[in-house]
Amino acid sequence: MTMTQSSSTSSLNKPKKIISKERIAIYLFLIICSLFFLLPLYIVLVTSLKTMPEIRMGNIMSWPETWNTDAWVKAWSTACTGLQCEGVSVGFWNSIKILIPSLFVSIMSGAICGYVLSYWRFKGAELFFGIILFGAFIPYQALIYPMIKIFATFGLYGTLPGIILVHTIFGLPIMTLIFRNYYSTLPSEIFKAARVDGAGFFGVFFHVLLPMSTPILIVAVILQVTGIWNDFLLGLIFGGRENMPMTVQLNNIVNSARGAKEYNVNMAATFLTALVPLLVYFFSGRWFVRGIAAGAVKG
Amino acid sequence: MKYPLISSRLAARLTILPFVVIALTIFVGCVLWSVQLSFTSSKLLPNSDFVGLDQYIRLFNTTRWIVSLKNMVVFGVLFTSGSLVLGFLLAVFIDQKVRAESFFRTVFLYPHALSFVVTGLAWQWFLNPALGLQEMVRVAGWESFTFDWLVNRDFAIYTVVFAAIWQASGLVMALMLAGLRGVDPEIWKATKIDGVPTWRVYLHVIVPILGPVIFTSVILLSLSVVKGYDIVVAMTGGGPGIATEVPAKFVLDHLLQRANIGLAMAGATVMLLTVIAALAPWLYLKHVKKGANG
Amino acid sequence: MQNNTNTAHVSAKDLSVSFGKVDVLKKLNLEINKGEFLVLLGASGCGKSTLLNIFAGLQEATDGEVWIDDRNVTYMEPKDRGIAMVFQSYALYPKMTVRGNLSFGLKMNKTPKDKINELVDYAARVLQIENLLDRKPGELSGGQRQRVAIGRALVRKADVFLFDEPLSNLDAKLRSELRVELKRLHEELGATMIYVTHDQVEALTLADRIAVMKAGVIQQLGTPDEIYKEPATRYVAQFVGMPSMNFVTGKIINTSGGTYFENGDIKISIDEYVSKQPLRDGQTVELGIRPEHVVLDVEGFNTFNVDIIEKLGSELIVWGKVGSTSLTLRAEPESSVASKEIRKLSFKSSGLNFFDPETGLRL
Repeated sequence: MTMTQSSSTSSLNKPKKIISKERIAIYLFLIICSLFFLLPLYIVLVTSLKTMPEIRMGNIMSWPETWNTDAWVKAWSTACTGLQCEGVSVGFWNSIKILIPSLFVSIMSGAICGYVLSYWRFKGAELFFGIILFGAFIPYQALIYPMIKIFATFGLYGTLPGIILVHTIFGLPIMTLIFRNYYSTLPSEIFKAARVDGAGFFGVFFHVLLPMSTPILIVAVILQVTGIWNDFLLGLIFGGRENMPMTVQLNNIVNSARGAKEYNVNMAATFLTALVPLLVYFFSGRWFVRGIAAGAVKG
Repeated sequence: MKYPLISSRLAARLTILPFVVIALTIFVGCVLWSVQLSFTSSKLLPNSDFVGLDQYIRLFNTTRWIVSLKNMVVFGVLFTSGSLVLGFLLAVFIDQKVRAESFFRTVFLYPHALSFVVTGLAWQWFLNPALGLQEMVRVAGWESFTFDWLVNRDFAIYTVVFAAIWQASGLVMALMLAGLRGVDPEIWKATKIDGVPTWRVYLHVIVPILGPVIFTSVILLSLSVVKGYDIVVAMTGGGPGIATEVPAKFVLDHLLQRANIGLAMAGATVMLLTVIAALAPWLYLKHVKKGANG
Repeated sequence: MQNNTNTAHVSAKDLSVSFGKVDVLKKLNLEINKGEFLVLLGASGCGKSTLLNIFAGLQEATDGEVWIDDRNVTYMEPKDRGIAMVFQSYALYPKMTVRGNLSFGLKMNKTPKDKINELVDYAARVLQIENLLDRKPGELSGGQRQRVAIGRALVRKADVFLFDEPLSNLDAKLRSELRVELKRLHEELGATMIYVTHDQVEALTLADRIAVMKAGVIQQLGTPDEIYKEPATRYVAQFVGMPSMNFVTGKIINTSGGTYFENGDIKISIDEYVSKQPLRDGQTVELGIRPEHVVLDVEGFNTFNVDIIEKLGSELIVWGKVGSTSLTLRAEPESSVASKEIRKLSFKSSGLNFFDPETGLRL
């Protein structure tokens, strides 16, 4: 979380004017790596702005002759996945529909579990926390079939509430962990003071702790927005036809469409799918790194 | 409980109850159910016809599973070590008080924000022999240039490794950089005074200090190896042929398309055991540490 | 506006708390009178904070009951017990203004708005924090924060005030200021106050009665005077008093000429000591004597090798030895004693205490 604060740590301060060979090598390495990291994004972007004939000419890196946004329009609204030709827009709205309630429910669930584990110890709390943590490591493959059966029994399989519940369940380990860790850093006397002041279980949480939770809420939102948006497997299995998230739709457009491949449309769809997490990433800045650090605690 | 609960304690317990039920049902119940199914002859529908280790025997006689396992090992070793090395180097180079540090950080980390599907598709396009990198070089004049790994049985798995490293090394960099910034500056002063070359300091002093961070990174990376599914589906679909199949995909395909529940669950159980084996050293260390602290 | 009738009797009946095999409180009984200022004194881990938290309803006892007046409050929510509490770390709500902090409890109780304002203004006036009402806790100094925390307790018009080491985070000067203020507050309100501290000066200055605790047991319950002058156990004797009491192990000698305490270096006549039970000839005992009862005296029988002198301004603390027995004594600041000197000293018989070396109990 402190990526820039200590600029004097690594090498000793020396006022130096001449650029040494060493410095050149450092920058060269970093620039080459930057190109490597930026290349795919660049290619996706320029391809999406080209026409198919231009793409067939064969220079994948070349700058588009004219900026052609037809592929974007097509990717958004008419690209085909098998038989349906509605573009990724359907997936986009499905993902929004999944994301917003899942975000709210999963973060609230994690916050409540973290709150209970920090302040309302109960018999078996340790075991409960252990199981939750173990849940972070179980491969989905070892859970999915029984879950499908259970969800089907309750009529949740392939429904929106179903997929929201799935995201809540799989988000529970990491959310519980970060909230528990955060609340355990707060002085317990605040909790006691609120109890003496007459706040009950929910009163303490909503009036006192939640207003103090802004930093960890931001981290949780970043983790969950990117996590839920980028999910493929869970949406594929639990979403059902009506709720295919954008990632699934994208994969269907690119990999299972018949006939001649329209690479410009594919890449436009790819870029559109990447847009939400990229925006979150660029606007959240240092908070994103905090999220990673918080998420890495589980390792 | 001989002591009655005061009302807010009761509220706390009632609130946590559904989560306890969920945790027990999903993270314990479902796992046990999956394992149980792996000992049955379940095909399209689950049954309780106990067949012992038959499914496991069949599993390990299935070429596709063996290929999947091999791929997981190859992918795991190359991806983990590649991401570690690249991530470490990036962190070290960024930590040399460079200008535009935040630009470099942003660039190296952004792939981590992307979906594996997006990553897979972007690389699939770039490495597409007909119109991608290979064609570009050929058009540019080197007509015999060949780079067809994506569609080459023997090499396709390496393209997946490549794409995965691209996506994950930023994460390692971020963790390592945080670790490097946490190194006591006095250590640097001490080594400067002793006249130790910088690269030696990194190798012999810093790497050991970063031990826990490296450990965390390895755990995170190996978990994504076992879970690896999206990127393969998006990039190669397991092909060409079965060249890039992985266990996660094997299980889901047998579950959802091939209606062979017993076999799929045997595969899932093997995956679960792999994860537990990967976690064992960590759990052991944590336990030992706890014991040492009293 | 002020009403001085809020006060209550508090009692702990056979309270036990254990975590697994560790007993934090052992069948503890304690009666606290109406309007009393009771201090729970002890080192960390003695169970004093646990006891306070049980009074508050913030922690469950494993066994036993808590009564406030004629109500069994053991199973009651903290808010229903008629208590208020002040914490060491102030525990102010960081996102609320001072006014918000003071009124939060009242809002939770659904007190009418104008009544809330009235109470908040009253507390602010009493504690002189009127000008801080619109600030956030982060903008206040430590002393101001603790005033707000006390104010938060004040507005609750509680019968019983609980203090959990409220002054420990403050510097020495503020601590003594607030100590005086708390004393005055207690006199004005007349409420029962239960105060946890590990600081014996706070205990001696504030308390009507002190309960000295160790390992979940009350070692002695008494007025500050009793605690200081007649410690019931060796633990109480060494815990209270600064510098600590001198302890010397020796034997009782009964002769026709009287009874003596003797350890090879010193011999003291103890005929004036009123013991709980007769001291036997040859019995091994531990003598405890406070530094102010060891006096430099040219007519004394004991030869004292002065080692170090600490000048505290109002007094001198002299460290040295009689033979191989180490002793500390208090002297007047104008006394001429110097380090490495050899002086004579005697013991004031009024300051003698004897303890059983096995049980630590007063003899």
